[in-house]
Amino acid sequence: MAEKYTSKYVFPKTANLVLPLLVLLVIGGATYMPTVVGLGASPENIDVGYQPTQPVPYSHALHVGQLGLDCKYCHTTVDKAAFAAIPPTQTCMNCHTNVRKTVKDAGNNEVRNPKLAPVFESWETGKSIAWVKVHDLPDYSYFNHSAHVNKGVSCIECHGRVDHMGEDGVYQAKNLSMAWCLECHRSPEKALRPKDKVTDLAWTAEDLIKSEPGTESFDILKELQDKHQLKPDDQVTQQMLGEHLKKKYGIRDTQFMTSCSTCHR
Amino acid sequence: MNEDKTGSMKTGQTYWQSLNELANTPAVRAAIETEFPTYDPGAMVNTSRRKFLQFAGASMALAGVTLTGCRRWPKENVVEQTSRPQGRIPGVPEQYATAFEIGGYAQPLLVSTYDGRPIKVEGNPMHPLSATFGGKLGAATVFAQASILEMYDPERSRTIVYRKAVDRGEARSPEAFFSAFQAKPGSKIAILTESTSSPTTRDQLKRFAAKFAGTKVYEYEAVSGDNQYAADKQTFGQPVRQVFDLSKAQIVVSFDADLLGLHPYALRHANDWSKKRKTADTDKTMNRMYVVESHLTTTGTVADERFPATVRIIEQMVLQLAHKAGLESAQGGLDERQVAFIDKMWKDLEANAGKVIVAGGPNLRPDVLGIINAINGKLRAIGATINLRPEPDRGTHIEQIRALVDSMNAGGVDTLIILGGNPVYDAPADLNFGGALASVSGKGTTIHPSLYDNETSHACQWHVNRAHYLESWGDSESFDGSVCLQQPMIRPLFNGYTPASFLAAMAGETVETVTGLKADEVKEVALDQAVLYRVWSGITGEKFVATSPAFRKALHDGFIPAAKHPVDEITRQDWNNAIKKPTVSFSQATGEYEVRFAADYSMYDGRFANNGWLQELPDAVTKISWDNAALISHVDAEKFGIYQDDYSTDMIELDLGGQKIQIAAYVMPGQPKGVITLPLGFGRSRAGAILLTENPGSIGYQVGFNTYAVRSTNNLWVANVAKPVKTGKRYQIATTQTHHIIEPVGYEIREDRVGKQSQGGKIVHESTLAAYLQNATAPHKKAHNLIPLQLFPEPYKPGAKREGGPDAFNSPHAWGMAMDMNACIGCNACVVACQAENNIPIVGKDMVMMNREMHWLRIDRYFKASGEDYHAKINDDNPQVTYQPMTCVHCENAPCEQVCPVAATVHDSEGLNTMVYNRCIGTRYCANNCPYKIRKFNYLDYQSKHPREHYFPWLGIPDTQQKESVDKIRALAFNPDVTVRMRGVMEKCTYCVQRIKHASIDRRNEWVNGQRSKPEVDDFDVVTACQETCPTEAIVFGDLNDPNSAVTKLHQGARAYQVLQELNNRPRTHHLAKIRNPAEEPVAIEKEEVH
Repeated sequence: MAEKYTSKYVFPKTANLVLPLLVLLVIGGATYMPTVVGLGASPENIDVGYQPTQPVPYSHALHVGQLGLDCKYCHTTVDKAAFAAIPPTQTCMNCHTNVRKTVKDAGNNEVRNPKLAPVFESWETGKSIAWVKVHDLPDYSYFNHSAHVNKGVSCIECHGRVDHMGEDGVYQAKNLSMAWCLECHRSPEKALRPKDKVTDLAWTAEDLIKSEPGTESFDILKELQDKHQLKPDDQVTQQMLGEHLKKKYGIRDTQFMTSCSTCHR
Repeated sequence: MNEDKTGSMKTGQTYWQSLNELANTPAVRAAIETEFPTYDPGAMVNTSRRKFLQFAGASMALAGVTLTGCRRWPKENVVEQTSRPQGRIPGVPEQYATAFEIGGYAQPLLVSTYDGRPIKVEGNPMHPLSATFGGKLGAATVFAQASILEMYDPERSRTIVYRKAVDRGEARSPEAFFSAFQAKPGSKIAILTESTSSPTTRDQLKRFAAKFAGTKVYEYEAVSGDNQYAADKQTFGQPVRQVFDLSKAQIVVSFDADLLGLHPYALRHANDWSKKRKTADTDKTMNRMYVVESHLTTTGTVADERFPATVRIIEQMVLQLAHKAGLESAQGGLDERQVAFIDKMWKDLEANAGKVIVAGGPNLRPDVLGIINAINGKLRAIGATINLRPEPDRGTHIEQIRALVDSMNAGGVDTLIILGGNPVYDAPADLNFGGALASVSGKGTTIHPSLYDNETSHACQWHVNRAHYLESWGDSESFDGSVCLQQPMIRPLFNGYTPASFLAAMAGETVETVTGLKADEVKEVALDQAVLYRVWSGITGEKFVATSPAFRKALHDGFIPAAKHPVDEITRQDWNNAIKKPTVSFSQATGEYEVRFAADYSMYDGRFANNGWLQELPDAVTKISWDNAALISHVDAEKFGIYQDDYSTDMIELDLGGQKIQIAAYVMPGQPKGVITLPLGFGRSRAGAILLTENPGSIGYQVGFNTYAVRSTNNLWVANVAKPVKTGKRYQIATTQTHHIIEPVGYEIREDRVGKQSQGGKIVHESTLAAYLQNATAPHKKAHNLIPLQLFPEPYKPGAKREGGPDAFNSPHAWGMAMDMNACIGCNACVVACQAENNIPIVGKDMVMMNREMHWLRIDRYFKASGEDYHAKINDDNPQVTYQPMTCVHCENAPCEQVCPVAATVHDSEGLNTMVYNRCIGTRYCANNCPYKIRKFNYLDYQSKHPREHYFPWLGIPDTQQKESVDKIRALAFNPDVTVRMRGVMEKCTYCVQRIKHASIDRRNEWVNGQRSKPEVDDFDVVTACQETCPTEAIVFGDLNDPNSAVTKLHQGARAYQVLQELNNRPRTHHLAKIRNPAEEPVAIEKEEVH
């Protein structure tokens, strides 16, 4: 009888596992959920690699990488305004009135270049090309291109090797999160280079000793060599260059650079 | 006013903002003690369980929405022009000069456009009317500032509308309209135009009349200088315009003339007047202004000597002054005080002859205004402080509209074109313009081109949409005689015509016929542009005006200066003697009470009724928002048992010769006994185009009371009534005068802690000129004995940047501001400028009543009555007024920052107390801890909410706001440099951080590129929106690290003080004490008083 009672009214031994399992579940859930949500919501995962399809299969790799166009040939306002303007159709037409206007089709007939069709259409109708914004900051952060470009922050710092991005379009290379912005705002010396090398995406501090006389970078090289008493073929490190340019370009102190009002209004 | 129930303040306070504050009612005490007086957590707590679960469910659902929001935000396009005009930089605002016409006079402007959208209006710094700070900046009026919102008003008329009877009408194409008209050109055409000085419109009127013989042109303005016109024509023998030069006037006398308020030349007056006040610091002298007036105006509030009186008494006082001047025989009927006031005034005038101005208001009779001209002549003012300019001989407006109505009633008009204006609403009631118009509409053709499909449009057969001044070409003459050009900032949003292009189109003119060029040559030319070019080719004497240097210069500058031609070749001395003095007689008064009509500081004559910024703007003097009311003195109110608290008031009925009006009464300090003021411009029945009867309706639909309903031809400005009758109804009124009352906090507690010698700092510091000259610390009394009360550790390590400069938050600049209470005239231009610059929403009347107006900048208006006890003070009809502009003072030691749990409000390195909207979680602790009460909380998504929509979620009305976005057209008006704040976020003045950043980035770029010698900004490189528009230069912003900046000098001046200095908040905004210059010094120096 007694056994029967026990078997019916006493928890089985397996019930001992319920509590640890429950604890595990709670702890597991409590770590799993934030991890998933945190990683899922991280700009690293949401934004890096964002590559929308553009109306024109424009290749920076071709124009900048191979042909060597300067960034400022098209993005003219980058050192004058907050916004680095997309070039007007007219800029495209400066060359494409003549260059690659037509291609040969399968039957070897001259036809209009289909890749450039939206450009020609825009030029003929006066309607703008609707480029898709790739690097899209939230509206409450006010990034100013001119403030960076004029102080020797290269395009590459935020946009990556655009000169390697092909017909698939420009993609977002950096996560553009606030923590990422602050990395530089806390230690700007890591990202400063002579102003004349801002659009030279392949340039690094090691290339400074190769500077041509008469350029700004050459003057800076001389200043650094004097300051650090370097021999002509001694390498200049980014740290040395950055510290020097911080003073030369009047980069403000960390307190200013990390003030809320510097980027938010 | 109700009695002081607490019994604690028998004498009343020294400074107070509303009669209830003076009475120290429990409601006001509660308002002072709580930051959110109408917020009742109990209401939320007491919700039923079911309701609570609903809330909880809704919150969960919202949380779900937020989680799924973890994705990239919507795709954005960059749409660049196909070919960019030379010099254009996308994203950089451009400024163009233009002009805005009101009442027939131009206001010269400079408009900023952002990627083709006009977003901000400033005064033209080159034009003599608007130039401030020696031509560095330009001032603009509230109306000009708010006109941006009018342009982006989605309720503006968009099409031509045809109405058979008075109904909603049908949209018609322009072709249909013009063919309909030209098929039957009427032989008896009349044109009723609003007052305009536009050379192009006048030219088109002439051409139209030449084409259609028999066309008669009439002109009407509801708020008109008719009486002055008639008086000048009589006394000078020809119509003239008197242009006052207050910069040369030591004594300014105003008899009901609102020289600094609604006068067309007010901006110049205010600037010149304020310059003569600021000489108190430099030359130990100041001008003196006498104001005799029948209700409190902005001019009266800043007068050194003010005398409130009925219009009838004012007219007799003018005659008394004429008697002193030897122009009239002795006058009876005045009491001792009135005679003494005139004696005092005359003594000053006589001593300063040649450096005086005597001005009369539009409500005085022409004869009396003629006497004032004669007094000016006697005082050798004409030619010295008063310049005469030619004025067109037009006849008075009232004669013209009467003639038109007579002609309409007699069948003399079969086609009526009402060119702008809104006569059905604002014509004198006894003329029954609406009835006459209906009879013409029934038989003939009536056409009304106008910005809104308004009352008059609804009574006409045709309504034609008009283009806004920011969208079209035009011109007009400013009060000083310069001709201003108006150029489009944007293509018309809803198409439309200007008055000139409409007349041209009616006369069958096209761009080709006007220019004489072929169609393909004028592809880009609009009709309004073509007719303007035709007229300006005459003005500049150039055939191809568009490319002529003279026109290009005029377009760039915005105007061509007035030709220097006086009215006559007669010498000045002769003018002063040649004035023909009229004779004045007084008829027997018929009523016990005088009713005085007045143009409104926000609505003007009613044309701005659909402008939410102006509707919500607390009136310059009364501080009423979203309403008008009959202003009545406290003595009279008590007599009739009118009781007013800060939320509601009694309705009264006034009988004006058979026409009755029911209107809310508003007890106004400074209102003379026996005068009831009725502000014009409210109670519009058709202000916008949206379906009127629907919730929410249009912005201006039946806001306030239509006082035109009782205004008739024989009492345009002043009427007599037996007496007001209480109707027994109550009316809810939104007034901001008891909102955000500052009080020096916790006297008793402080004394317990630091002892008696800690004198409470007063909020208002003021002094008389004589006392100030004797002792420069006179305005501050004992405030310099203050022991600062430190509540928490200072958040910084002092490190002086320079001797005397701020010792923290000063790298590389130290921003600071000075607000001069001696110059502020309370005109509100800064409030609207701030609203336009910083995307500040409109909240609506119900929200204003709950203390929730969002204006970052408010103008506190303090009264100070004479008299020992409470009763004497409350019955004083001549209290002194001090305006104190108040906004975030950017404390270095900020109380708000100490209590924010998420560090959403913190300092930046230059001293800005920044507000980080994205960190804010809406606890509102900061607002609660702000002693200046300048923080504003977004209780709702006000930008997407319609201000007329009633919204109380806890009453079970569904939350529609999460779905709705901001109206597409309204969103165009946003300043893209400033974040649009959402619900649940605290906000406040940022010192226009966007302007600071633009200037400092640009200057530093120039320095890096070797175009500039120093990286720091110069003085006036950064100008806040409020400073830029202030006509009296009362607000100055700049760098306190720069020892030569204007703001540093003001901070170091003797008048500078910190409001609530005893709290050791170390505000970066210093206020400058007010200095009064009364004619006679008070016998005893004022007692030490604590507010």
